[in-house]
Amino acid sequence: MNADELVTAVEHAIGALSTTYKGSANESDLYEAALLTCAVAATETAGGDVVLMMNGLSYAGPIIFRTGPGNLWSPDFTYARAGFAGGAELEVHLGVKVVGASGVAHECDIAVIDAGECDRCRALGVHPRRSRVIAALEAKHYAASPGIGVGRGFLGLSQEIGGAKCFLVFPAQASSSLATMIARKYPECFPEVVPGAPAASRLTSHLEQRIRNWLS
Amino acid sequence: MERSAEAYERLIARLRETLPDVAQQIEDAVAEGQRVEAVKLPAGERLSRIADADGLATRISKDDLISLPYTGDDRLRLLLTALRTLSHSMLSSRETLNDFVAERNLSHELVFRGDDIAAAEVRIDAGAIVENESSRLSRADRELAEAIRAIQ
Repeated sequence: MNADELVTAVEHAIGALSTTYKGSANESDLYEAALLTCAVAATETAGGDVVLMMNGLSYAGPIIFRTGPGNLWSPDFTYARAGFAGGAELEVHLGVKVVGASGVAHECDIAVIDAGECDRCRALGVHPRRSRVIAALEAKHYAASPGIGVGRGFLGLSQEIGGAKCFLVFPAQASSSLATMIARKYPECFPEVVPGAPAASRLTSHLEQRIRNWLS
Repeated sequence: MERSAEAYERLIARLRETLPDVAQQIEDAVAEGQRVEAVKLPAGERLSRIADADGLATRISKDDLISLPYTGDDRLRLLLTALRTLSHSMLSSRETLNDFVAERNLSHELVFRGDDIAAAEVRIDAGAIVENESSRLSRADRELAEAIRAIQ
């Protein structure tokens, strides 16, 4: 294959991708929703009995995913709630704000939160406190490695929410700069996370361990 | 590959027209260059840099870091890998969500909306997008895989 043939073949592939591509925002939403299913899977593997909920009730209708930063107490969004032997319960949410160490609320793309805290938030109309967050995923639907600016932002978020709870997740290979920046800190970087791929399984296992630690 | 730099420029121009946000991600990654620890440069390169320093530096430290620009082959490989990542991610996200609703006997319709009631919502049929789009994405993936093999 010479350069001209390669360009022709790749242009054809680009055409196929572009007709399927739903735009940056919508593709990010699909990716984050798929990651939510990884968090649900981790919850089940940790022994949780998961039910999909809306407005405090078990829900079996079309799933309604939140886009953009939102308030946990806002009605009419689907979330997962899991009960464990011993009575502990947690919830998995998409795109809710959490109060950080500075007293400012930050969006968590996927948040795993103590269910009692979630009930309290819905009752009072307040954001969940970071101390009740079990895990928070920052998802970046990037085809090429996010830049170090994203890494800096993520480290800032992890300081706000709690380093060991935070995970930066994206489908691309990580650049050496980004991987090195995060490797020496408490929060974790999970590159090459495509749902169904080995890296996604590692992420799910990591989340499962976070949940098991919380249960202990 | 011969003319890899030219191939990259043609393809990134095409991406700017069709998938501008993906083009921007690739261009940003290319612009960032490759992080290289200076001590890991070939001996000749290290000596050359010290010689060029005109006495201002007599050795390269383990803390010295440089950013090397990507070659034409590197840029092309980065672009092709990014497109393949995109095709995988798009296909897998769709399949994962379709499987999730199917396993729970839920409606295949997924609704995406913001907290603001007035904001527009996006409705996606998980089953339909897998049925209609997976073969196209799989074919794109095969073409990209073949292109990547051609430059190795």
